Amino acid sequence: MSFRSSFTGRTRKRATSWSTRLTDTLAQLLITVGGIGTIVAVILVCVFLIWVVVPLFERATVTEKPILKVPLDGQQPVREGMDEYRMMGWSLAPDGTLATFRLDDGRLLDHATPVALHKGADLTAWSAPGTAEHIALGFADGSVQLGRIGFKSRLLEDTEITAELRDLKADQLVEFSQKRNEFPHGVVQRLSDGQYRLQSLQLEFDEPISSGSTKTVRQIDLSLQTRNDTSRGETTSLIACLSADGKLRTVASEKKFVEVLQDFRIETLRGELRLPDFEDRGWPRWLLVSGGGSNTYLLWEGGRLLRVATREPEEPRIMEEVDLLAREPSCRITAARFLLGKETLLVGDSLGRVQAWFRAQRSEARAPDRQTLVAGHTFAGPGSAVTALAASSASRMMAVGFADGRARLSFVTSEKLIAEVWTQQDEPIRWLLLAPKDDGLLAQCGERCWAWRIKPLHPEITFHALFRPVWYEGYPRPEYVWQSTGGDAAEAKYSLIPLIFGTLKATFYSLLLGVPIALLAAIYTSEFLHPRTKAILKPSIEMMASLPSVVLGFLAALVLAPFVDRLLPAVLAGFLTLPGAFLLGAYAWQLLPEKGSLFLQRFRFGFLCLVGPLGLLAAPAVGWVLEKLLFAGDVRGWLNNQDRGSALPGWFLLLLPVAAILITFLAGHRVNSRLRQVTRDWSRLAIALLDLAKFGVLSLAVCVLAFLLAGLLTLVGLDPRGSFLGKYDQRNALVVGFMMGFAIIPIIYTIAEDALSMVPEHLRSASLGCGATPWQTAMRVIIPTAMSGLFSAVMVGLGRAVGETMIVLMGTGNTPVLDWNIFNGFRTLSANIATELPEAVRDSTHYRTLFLAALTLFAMTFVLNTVAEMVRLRFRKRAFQL
Amino acid sequence: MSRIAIFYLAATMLLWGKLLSAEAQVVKADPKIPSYQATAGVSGSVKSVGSDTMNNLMALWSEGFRKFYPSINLEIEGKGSATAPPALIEGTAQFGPMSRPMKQAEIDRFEEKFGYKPTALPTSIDLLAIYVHRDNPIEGLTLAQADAIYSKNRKRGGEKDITTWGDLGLSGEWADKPISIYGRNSASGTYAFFKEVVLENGDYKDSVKEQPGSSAVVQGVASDLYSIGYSGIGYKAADVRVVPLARTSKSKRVEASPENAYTSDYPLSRLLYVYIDYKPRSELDPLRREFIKYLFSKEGQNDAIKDGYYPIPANLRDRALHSVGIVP
Repeated sequence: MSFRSSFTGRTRKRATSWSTRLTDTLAQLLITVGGIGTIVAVILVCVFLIWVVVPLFERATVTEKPILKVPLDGQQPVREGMDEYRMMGWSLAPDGTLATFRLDDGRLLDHATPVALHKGADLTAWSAPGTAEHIALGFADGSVQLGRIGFKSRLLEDTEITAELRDLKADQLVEFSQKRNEFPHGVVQRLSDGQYRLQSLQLEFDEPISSGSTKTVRQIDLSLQTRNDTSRGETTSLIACLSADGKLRTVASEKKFVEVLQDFRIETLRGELRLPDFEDRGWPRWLLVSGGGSNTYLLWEGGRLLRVATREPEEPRIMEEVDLLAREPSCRITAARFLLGKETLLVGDSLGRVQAWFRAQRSEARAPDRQTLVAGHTFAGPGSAVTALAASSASRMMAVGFADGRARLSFVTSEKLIAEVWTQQDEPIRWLLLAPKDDGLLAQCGERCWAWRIKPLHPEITFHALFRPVWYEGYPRPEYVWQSTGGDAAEAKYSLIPLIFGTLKATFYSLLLGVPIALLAAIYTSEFLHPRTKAILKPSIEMMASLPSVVLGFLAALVLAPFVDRLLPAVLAGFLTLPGAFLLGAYAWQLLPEKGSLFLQRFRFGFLCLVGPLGLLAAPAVGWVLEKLLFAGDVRGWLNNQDRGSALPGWFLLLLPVAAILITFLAGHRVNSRLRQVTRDWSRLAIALLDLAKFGVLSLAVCVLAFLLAGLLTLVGLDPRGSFLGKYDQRNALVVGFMMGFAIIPIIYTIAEDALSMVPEHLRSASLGCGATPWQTAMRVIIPTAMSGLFSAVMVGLGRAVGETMIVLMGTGNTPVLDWNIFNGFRTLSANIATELPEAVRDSTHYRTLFLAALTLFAMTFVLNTVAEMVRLRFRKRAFQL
Repeated sequence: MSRIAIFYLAATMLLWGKLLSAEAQVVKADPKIPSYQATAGVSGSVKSVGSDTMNNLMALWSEGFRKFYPSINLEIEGKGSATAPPALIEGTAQFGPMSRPMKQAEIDRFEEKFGYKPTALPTSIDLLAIYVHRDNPIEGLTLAQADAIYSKNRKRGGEKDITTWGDLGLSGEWADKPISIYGRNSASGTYAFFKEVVLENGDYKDSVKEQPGSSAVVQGVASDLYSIGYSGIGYKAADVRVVPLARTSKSKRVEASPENAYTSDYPLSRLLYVYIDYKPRSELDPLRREFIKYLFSKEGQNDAIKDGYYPIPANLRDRALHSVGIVP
């Protein structure tokens, strides 16, 4: 180190000491690493979200397995099935013989007529696929029989494992014979943990019962439900059959377990209905019973469909007649069956189209139950006729076989084409079968069978299904719906629109309530409040930010919501009386003599604090008066019934703030300067009185203006009910807006206050020095200068409101509604993720869709923040120019 | 004087008679179910993740079980039935209490991981009750009415949407008051059960307020005069009323009472399950084995009664124990 003496005689170290330089370097390093680290972390979160979401949009995979031999002689089977591990299948021939075959090479295992099958007469009718493993059979002597053809799976005991089995490879199948079984041959597979799984056919047939007549059963179908509440095998079923005498007969049975008898008791109800003009129409080609046995459909090849209500089985009633092929007279229906849940009817025609029909409540419905069949989805075909239809038993997937030998897999709800596969060119597909777990497809074409392994991935999700209205089963029209969970047969609905809307609604109302308070408070504390009071007030408002949002949510749900519910008119009136009281207080203050006013100046804040409660105390009375005057004494009744009372009072109250702003603006520009000229020489008291009078007149003007505007809107025919107002619900946006406002006020307040205080003191001094009042200084000098800071304060508050979870989760009912009504709830993206993620099965569609919701939230805040930053920079540039 | 004494005596006797008869109605565990016998060698800790409805019940069981084995550690988490399958699959929990049977998709996921299906143990019977505010005068509901209150698409065939109490036949000040609807969140088995049985797989209205827990539903109903909500019978409280239900408009209304739980006259009874990961033909570890034995013992079944549920019959118990390789 070298020291150079200066002319003052003092020596000074010129070089920076090593410790400072080290700290400098370290700090720089740390800040760089931290900064880059933050960016990397944010990008990683984004990448992770995208990584989970992307498989939603991936294409399904299909692998073809070698072609199987034909397991059967040339007969077209009437029903076929396969087990969930895709080891063996069965098919029932029209003569009542049942064949089982292996699914790896198609070899026949057993072929016989089931012993328990009704023997007295020929098999004449069989139920359509749709009710899991159950089947109803109809016979020439008018009897019907209910049966179950399923599989039984068990692990082999050690003693049963033969030498042959020990050498079995992982994906190899081998036959296994059980002497006691009716169909002795099963199939064994070796599992990864060294155990052996045996799959074999299991048959159950009930005793045949009478259909109610001895006439031949021509058509039959059933709907069967197992009651899952007691798992004792209690069932309710409805068999509908069409007898040779042209009558539709119903047999409803309820199998109940009687505790006292320790046995089942079967209660049966029967009904019949003569089909109208049956002789002219001929036999329907299909008879189908919908889920729960509520309706029976009779469908003719020409497209005519007769819907019969069978919910009350003793008296079937004709509901309506629909022509499913109204626009295509030359077209014929070639295939029909139910989708999972037996509510949606899939109808394939000779043009190759498949339409999905279901019942929906519509205003134009003429049936007594006010429902009518609508075609919710239409799938265009490749030009050749539909020859086979299969529906999944696990999802809303369907497989369609065409006359040209191709098969298409589609997802009905989202109308997504999952895959297209080919069998033999120009040879019609005779039947199709989807594996129980949706992982395989089996098709017979000509004399051979094809098998595919499929992985449909996430066919429920398409861009359209997420962001556009979808026509869901049972809905009168396409809608945006979020309802992700339900039973196995329920249709999952994944529209993100209600959630995005809910997020925006929550943000809008919380900002509407929070931003004015926070900004005005910030302006007041920074410009008008004594620094000593400010030193206490500011930290205590900041303390509010430390309140956990779960506590706020809890308060919203259990304290605030019932409170607002009980005192609705008072709470609403509070929005008028509280600001009104402050303004009145301010004008009253001016009435004080000059000396007193100066003396009391330092207690002004205290007086201010007194005026607030006065305003609140006035609220119930004002609320009562307003309710009596405007809403005939029942504001809630007015809100709940759109046809009660006119829209005028609602518009009036809504437009009051708008009118107030307009009038204030006008007064500020036109009236105030004139008044100032006129009253130049008046005494202080006179001016104060004139001001008070002006306040009164302007208030009246506000009311009149609001009333006129409201009248105009009402005359036009608009009604705020249904948009911003509407049915009152205890857990609503107003309550949550309050509480969210509570959460965002401290943040907005602090940042805004800081921004205002940062405005250089010389600007303030110069303005005041030129004779401007503190109010003029604040409005015209300080606020424009601090605009960028105020704006970012609001933006930070907005960011908090968008992502806020707990308050929304607890304070609202999480109702995914799609309207702006302040008196009902909403469901936000964040609250939805919080409630549903724990239940979502990992990597399922639901799970990935929730991640997509998270990504959407991320994108929303990202876009918002970027825009905000750009606007803020513009403001800042302007501020610098000052 | 003596007259007063006689009156007093008669009154007391009447009261006692009432009390006694009430006592006689109280459910008891199936007498064929034996008491629990403690064994040696049980230690360690287990975790249960699943149904919120069964939260209290699991707590009671773990308390009772720890009377026999004070050293074991049982942790219980109850956020909804749907949380049980993921926890069992990930191995974070050994017991998965569920107020509904597992869905096919959940079973498939489990089987994909382990190669066998999860085992369901039916532990007790619950009645799902529809609650209204204590001061609500409604006499009863049919399932179709309940469906029309809760569902958008009314799969039970209700012709008209029901939005006000007047639509249910109430008059006076109730007539034009809209029904404030409470329900459970979608993770809960109660939600799924109600959707499947009452709504017949229809969709809930968007205006159903989803509450995070069974008690939150009851609380919501208690604090909201014009409300309705569904929840397990175990959460019944003083300021709410359980509405009797009828299957159809023609059948009679049935109270949610123990007599009706077993005859399955009450339309909304269901089994409460505990799911476990049991590898077929293997032997359970002592802790899980003993806990399951406890659930199905007289003590365990009495705990269920204490929590407001109903015990299962002995044959169901024997079948359940067999299914996990325990000889009853």
